[in-house]
Amino acid sequence: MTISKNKAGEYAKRGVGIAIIPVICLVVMSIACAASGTSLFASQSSFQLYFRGLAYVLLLSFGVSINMHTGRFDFSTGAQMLIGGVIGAKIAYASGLGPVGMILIGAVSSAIFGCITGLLYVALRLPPMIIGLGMTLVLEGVVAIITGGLKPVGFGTDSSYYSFAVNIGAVTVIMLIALAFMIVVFHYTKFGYDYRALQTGQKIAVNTGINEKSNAVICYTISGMMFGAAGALSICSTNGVTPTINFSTIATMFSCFLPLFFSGFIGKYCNKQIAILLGCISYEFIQIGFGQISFKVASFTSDVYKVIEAVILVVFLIYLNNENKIIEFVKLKNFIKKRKDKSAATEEQ
Amino acid sequence: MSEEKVINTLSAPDAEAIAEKETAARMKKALIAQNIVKYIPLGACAVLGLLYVICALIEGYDLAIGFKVIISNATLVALVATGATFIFSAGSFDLSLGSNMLVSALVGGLVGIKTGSLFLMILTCLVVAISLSVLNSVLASLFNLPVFIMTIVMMNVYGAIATLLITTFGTNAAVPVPPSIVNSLNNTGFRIALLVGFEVLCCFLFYFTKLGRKQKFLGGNPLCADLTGINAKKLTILSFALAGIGIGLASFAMIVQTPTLSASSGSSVGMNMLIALVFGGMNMNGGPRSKMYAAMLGAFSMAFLDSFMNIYVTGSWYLQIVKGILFVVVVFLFSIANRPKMLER
Repeated sequence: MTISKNKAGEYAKRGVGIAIIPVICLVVMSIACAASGTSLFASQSSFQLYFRGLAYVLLLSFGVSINMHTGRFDFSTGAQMLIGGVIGAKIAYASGLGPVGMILIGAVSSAIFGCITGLLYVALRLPPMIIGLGMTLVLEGVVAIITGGLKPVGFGTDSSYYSFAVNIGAVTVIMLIALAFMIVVFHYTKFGYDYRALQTGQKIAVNTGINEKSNAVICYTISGMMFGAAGALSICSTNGVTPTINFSTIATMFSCFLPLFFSGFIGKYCNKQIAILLGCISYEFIQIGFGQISFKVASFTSDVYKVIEAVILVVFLIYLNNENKIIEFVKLKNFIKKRKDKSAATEEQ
Repeated sequence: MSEEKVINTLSAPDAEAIAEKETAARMKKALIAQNIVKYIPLGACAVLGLLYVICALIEGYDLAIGFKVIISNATLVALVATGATFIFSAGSFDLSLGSNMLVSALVGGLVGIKTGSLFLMILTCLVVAISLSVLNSVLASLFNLPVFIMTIVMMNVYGAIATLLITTFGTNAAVPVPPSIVNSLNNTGFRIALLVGFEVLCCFLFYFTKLGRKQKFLGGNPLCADLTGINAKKLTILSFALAGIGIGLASFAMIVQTPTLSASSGSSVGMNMLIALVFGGMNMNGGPRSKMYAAMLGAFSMAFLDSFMNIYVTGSWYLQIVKGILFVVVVFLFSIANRPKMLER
């Protein structure tokens, strides 16, 4: 009886841990939208935009999480996204392969560039930061050459690419494929087993015979594939892209930080990949909410909500990185309060 | 007979003497190699400068104008990179310096437009740059936030703030500072004076005070530095504040150079600053091998490379590819002697 009670308690705790962030985001953004005279999902198009954004952020977050969770920080994420998307768009549009072909070409070409980045990292044994920055410079330059000097890349009057990006069924299939792929590769293969061993103890894992180099190259390749798919989807949803240089692609990573840190909290209660999905779902509530508010309040521009998003991220990071201190502080406060109440009660007596 | 066998047949004192001699020879070789590596950045700068001069003369370019452009381009990068050396030598990292420079320049420019005072403009540039820089360090060191994440977050935030400032206070997507306020300073002499003054101040702080020694110690071995009583958090905040001075001066120099400020003003400075540090021979992990003069040397190397390539190639992206390849190659060459057995993270 006690055991089943304990189990029930544990399940309840897990359920609360998993659902709390998405629920808070949904409730807070619904209230914020209502206060601005609108609603979170005002029409069918809101749902379309929600799923479009969710698919993009999910692919990006999966890609970034692979290297970030092993302590490698790849600055070339945005550049890989851009080059994959541009190559995919150019080839698919020229040969009439359509959006599915574009995403596949984008994923494959970015996987190749990811693999090159990984091979350089392994061969030169330099910090990932240096390799990432170097590759960013090179890839941005290559994109500029491909686009004939940073000329915009688009699909002319062909609206099938945009229609695909806002097709809830299509993007849901992409998300499910990506989720299933990540779960299988990172939780049910030898590669995934080695990856997790390297993640928790690099030296011990290497000493036990795990080939860190091949594992790192595969990580870079898989993340490149995710970035390419995300880049292609992003270009579809904006109906084109104007490439930029001078490290400007580095900032692209910003949009996956909040979902990833949300997933850091949710991940304590469930599978890591599911936690990333839930983190993205929460994040998209914030995004769609900000979008709805900006339709009503003209001064609430994308720059304003970028700043607000950063504030939320910093506050959440402060909590995650100082969780113990905050708990201690709260408990100490409770302890002092209890003591004060006790002494007051004694005095009254 | 192998050398080892010869040593084995000798008496103990002889073998010791030979071993000592061998060690001394090895140390001498290492010292020579170290000295050669030390002077490579200087040699590279001289070679690039010479290459530019020769090619400019062959192609009939005006060298006087060319050198004015080189000094102008190098000043902004050198000011930011020299300040940033304090951050990197202490083992820290910041990518948001370019965006910080733009925000500081915009706020300084707006104060200049409002008051017409040059003094208030430079003061505002400095105060804003130092404040933003310190904010980064406070978030990273006091709240234990990951530096890599913080730097990208702040880069985005400063970029958004800059756009907001331009759309709110600017006209035609720009903030035009009246050139009459800054015209008197828009000359090469002022740029050289500003750069030399700041460089001398930084070199003094870095090489002749406790601050520089502490920073190198902290960058080299944070644990030992902590055990010897160095307050890492305080030192990191101070390093970022000093970097803020460089950014503030660079933002002022940018207003003087191009008084019409837009969202793309100085957009390449953040990138060039990193490359300049590497070209100048700065160790990106910080520590005792950090050099304050590396920033200036690297900035001039890059300005020479830019001007040299501009003679023959149209399109800054080709230059960017060359810089990217050189960036990785130079770091690789400098790290050959200290390559770790396991992959770095």
